[in-house]
Amino acid sequence: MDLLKKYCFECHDDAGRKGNLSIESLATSQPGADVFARWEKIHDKLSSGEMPPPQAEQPPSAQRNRMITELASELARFSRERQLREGRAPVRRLSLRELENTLGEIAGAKLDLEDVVPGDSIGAEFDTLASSLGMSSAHFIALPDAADHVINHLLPASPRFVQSGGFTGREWKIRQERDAGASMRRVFEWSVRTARDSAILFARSSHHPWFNIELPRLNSPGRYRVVLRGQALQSTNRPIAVALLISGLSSDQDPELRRILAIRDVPPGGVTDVKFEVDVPIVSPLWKTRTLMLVPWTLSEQLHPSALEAEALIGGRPGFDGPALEIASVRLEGPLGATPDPAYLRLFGDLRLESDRMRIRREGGRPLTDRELRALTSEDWARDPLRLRAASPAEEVTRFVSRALPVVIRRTPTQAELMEFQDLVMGVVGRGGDLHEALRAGLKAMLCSAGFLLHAGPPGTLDREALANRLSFCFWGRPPDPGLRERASRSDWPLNPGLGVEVDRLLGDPKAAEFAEAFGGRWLGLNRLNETLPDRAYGEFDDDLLWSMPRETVGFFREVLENDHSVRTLVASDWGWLNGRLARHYSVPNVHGMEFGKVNWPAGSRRGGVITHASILKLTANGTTTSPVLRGKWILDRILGQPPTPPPPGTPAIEPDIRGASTVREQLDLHRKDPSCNRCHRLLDPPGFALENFDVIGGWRDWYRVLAPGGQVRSARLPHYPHLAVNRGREVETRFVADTGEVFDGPDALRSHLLRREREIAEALAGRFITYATGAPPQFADREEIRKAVARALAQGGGLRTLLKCVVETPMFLER
Amino acid sequence: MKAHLVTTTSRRMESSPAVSVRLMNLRRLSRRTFLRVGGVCLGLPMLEAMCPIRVRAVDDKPALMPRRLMLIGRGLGAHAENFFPAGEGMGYKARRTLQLLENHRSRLTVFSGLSHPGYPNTHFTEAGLFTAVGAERIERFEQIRNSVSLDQHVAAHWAKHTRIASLVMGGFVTTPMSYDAQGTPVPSERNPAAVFRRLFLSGTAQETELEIHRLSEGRSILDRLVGQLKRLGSRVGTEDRDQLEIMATTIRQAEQELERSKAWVKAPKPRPPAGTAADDFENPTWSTGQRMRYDLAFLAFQTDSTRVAVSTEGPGFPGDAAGAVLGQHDASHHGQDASKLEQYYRYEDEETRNLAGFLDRLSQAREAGEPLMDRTAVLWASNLGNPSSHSSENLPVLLAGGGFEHGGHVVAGAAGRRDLGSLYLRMLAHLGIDTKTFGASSEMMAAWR
Repeated sequence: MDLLKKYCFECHDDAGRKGNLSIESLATSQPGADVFARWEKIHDKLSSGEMPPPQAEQPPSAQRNRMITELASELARFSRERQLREGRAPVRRLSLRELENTLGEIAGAKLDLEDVVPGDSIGAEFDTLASSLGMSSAHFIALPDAADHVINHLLPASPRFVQSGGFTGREWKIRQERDAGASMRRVFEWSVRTARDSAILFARSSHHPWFNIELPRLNSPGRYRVVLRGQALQSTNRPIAVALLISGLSSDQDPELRRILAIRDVPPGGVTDVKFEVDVPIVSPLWKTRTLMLVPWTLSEQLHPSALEAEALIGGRPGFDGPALEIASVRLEGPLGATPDPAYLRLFGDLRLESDRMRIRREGGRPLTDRELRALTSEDWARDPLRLRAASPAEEVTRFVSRALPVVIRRTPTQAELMEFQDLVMGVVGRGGDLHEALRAGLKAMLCSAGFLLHAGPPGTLDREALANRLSFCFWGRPPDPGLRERASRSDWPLNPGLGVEVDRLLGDPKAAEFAEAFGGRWLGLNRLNETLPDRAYGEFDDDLLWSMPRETVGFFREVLENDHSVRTLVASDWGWLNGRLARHYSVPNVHGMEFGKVNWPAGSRRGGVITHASILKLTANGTTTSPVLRGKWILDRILGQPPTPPPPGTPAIEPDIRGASTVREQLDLHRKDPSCNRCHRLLDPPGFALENFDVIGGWRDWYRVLAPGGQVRSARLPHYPHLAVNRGREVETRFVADTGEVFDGPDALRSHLLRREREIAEALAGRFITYATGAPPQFADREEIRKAVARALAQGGGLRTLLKCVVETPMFLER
Repeated sequence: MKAHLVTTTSRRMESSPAVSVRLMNLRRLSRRTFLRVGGVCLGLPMLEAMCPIRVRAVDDKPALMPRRLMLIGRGLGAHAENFFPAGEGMGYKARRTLQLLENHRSRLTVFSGLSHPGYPNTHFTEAGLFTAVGAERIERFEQIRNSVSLDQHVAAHWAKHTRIASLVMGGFVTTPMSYDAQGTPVPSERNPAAVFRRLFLSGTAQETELEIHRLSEGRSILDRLVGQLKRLGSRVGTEDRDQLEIMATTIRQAEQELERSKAWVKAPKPRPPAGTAADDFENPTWSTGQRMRYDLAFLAFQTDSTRVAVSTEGPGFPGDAAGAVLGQHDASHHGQDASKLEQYYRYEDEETRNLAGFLDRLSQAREAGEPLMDRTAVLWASNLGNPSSHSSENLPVLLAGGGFEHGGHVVAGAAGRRDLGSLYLRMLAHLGIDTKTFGASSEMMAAWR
């Protein structure tokens, strides 16, 4: 305290209160969260050397260290006591993503609740962050509606019949010609030909529906398989990509690209089956038409005949030998999966769901056949819907509640909880409701219960069920499946087989695709990828590129995780996760198609690590110009976990005056002359400038592209897009000498700089991971845990998966 | 005679929601009948007779006169040299922005010198624009602990009068601006067509029955949830228990909303004005979205469907304003560069013209012989005093209509540090809502004229 008095009170006493901080009064304040946060800040400013400020008297280093260690041990003790008393992570609701997934697991089909439940904050670091998961009254009002969607799917009024069918390419062409108007029919005749039973497509069009291969309307939600049989022809041995889209809007009206469900490459060299599997959600604003279509996605990129140009390009040349897609046949099948639906069985067991007509025929010994059922009309089903039936309803109530409640609340219910729902359901039966209505009401109440809605529990070490939940929500974004629940029910779990083995098991499941997006993607900021649109001067920017950007980053993260590559790989890798579109953008030869794969960077490439991903370079620019400040901040914050501290309250805003400064560099040079700007900019600018060779969409540039409104002469060609002419501006200068004397001159220098800071990167990543997994950012007591976990991981080779396993084994993860 | 009768009943309506609903039914029916027979579009002077009747026999009791509040939150501020006029009082000399609002000079007050004291200089102070929460609670984006926003505070008092407590609408903004009493963001409706349907389109009789069932069931489900939270509270730490209690309070609020919806569900909705349909509100752009939200607020006020509306204005993209080739956010970081400023003005002018259109409509429409404008307080404000530096000082704030004694250009704080919350306290007092403190403010701004 004496030291604080000596070195800090000059500004931060009751009289001074500089930056609205008086350590004098803080010292006598009741310890609480706010007071604690301020002391934490004081500790951090002292240990980073930011305080006392350079112009003030500095404590000798022994004294400074004493202040820091004393403060740190007090803070750690206080923080740990709070964790033990309150639980480390606060109670929180399921995020919208978790809610959709969890309801989807219960229903046995996907949901997209965008139109039903208010959305979560898109600005929050992770969607699991407790502090951003508040609930307004609108959330509570929406809950029963969301539950209804699930229940209506599980207990439909009419059976869901499997659809199965298809057509040949020739049949498709004949139908299109019949339906298209006369003028279009001529264009169509030239761009689509037939050979035997196949259709040969030479063009695609984003604004003429005739080129889309529309599939029959889907009668019910569920998983469907679409198989396209075909090949790429005359394509210089390259694949042609085919996209499966939700019909309704054409792609150019829907820049979010959310309607694209999948893109697959159709290879050359013989007719093969190309398979798609898609989930049609129970409810979704996107799926109103419930119709799918296939689009020959990359035909127009290889050849540019819009439908109207087709005559000129192809029509006059019957022997046209440009790329084409042969479609032999298309088949659709679904909903896939076992009957009866396992999701139904989990909740309702062997309870019958049938109509009166079905019951009478069954009791008469002649059950209705599938053909007879299909012959019934929707009016028939409305008059005589499927309903749950049982001989002795009272018995069924108890069985239903004890079966369904553990599924819905994701753990073993207490006796009191079982009684609560049994009473509720029996109450409905008692009031004259039949079993069907009673079980519906019971399930709805369960789906709107605290046990379903919240991640909550007593402070202290998680019990086995709670740990299984934390693991599964972390890596799958959804509740434990029956397998994990069964394992977690054993008394020696997780010691046997060990947490690490369990993590491997979870990550080995296809459901873990969720983790790479929800954690990896969001950690790197992909949720903000679409915030700005590139300027029109970037003529090479197209849907394919935008679609590919986040997939590169998420796929790369997954690949690193899968192979337990070192954390260093994240910032510097000699390979990339690319498709043909990105390869072109990055000037990497010999990669074709839209599907992704691992590609080694050719000699001389400047790429490597997420820092040179087009997605990251786009989201750290504003669409028009790049900003070394934003990129520098992104690196300090996301990669190194050292976000520049916002200026203390009361700091006057500095208004930069950039008149006369024509480059970003000159603008920032002006900034750094101001000492209060320089405090952060000396850290922000060097890594930012190192990436200055990448434009707003992540393309390489040696000179700036001048944005010229009005029709100025396009003076230069782009090396990676020779067909585009742009205005050439000044040369890019990246060389930047930091205060430390370190020279940053491009991505290679930045990479070597970051590689030297592996431990910081791993610690930052561990902190982010614990934030995502528990909903609570690292606390003071966690700092030591993170340091230890990272040290263990680095000692074992520093792999990404190893690191996550080491963090999972800390109290941060294992305690509430 | 009729007017007298209604005035008497309306006094009761203030105190008893149950009674009010029945009366509203009658009132709505008569309006509907009138419209069907007359086939006249809303907004014609004749309709005045049908508009919220209890205001008809005005005996100058402000409590009986319906008032409205419209808040417009502008995420990207204003250029001070365009916004703030030269000279004080009614005789100010308008600069670029106020020149576009010249018609409304007598009906508006523009404030200079208002601030959010101590706020960090960043975009997410949007969160505090209408809450005026203390600076210490908004230091970091992840740790914002907000308090109620002006719109929701007022809506809580006025909700009993209308079908919809408040309309919270917005373009794309990173931080919500509307917060409930627990400081939780109120979701903002981004789809204007959905708002239109909510205001004007009703279901069939069978759908209404289902709706009533749905609302009752929802109510009992939420009741049960409160009980479960209470039991859970005994098993968790004290901090969590506090959170669960906040949740329970919100649930009680949700239950009241369901009750209110149930009371209204059978009352026919007002018919949309002739020539307007949900389709007119589809596919909003940055600018048409603003106009749609103004139109919806206007229609909602005029039909007394709600008395509180919020519109949050997100950033415009190239092409959203005539001749704009830079994005609005990009242009807002102008650094005094003339070409960037010129781009920024294009968005600013478009926003101002959209506001002017709204004020025009409000001044032309009449209710009980008065311009609707005089009963509608319109606050057009930003959390950024200078978007180029993200400053939270000298915020551009404009108050129009609402029956205020307008004062032209009011210099609210000589030192430029007068807190915005003090204006909110003044507005609340004027709206007849007795409030001692709001956000971090406890001192009401003195009347400015």
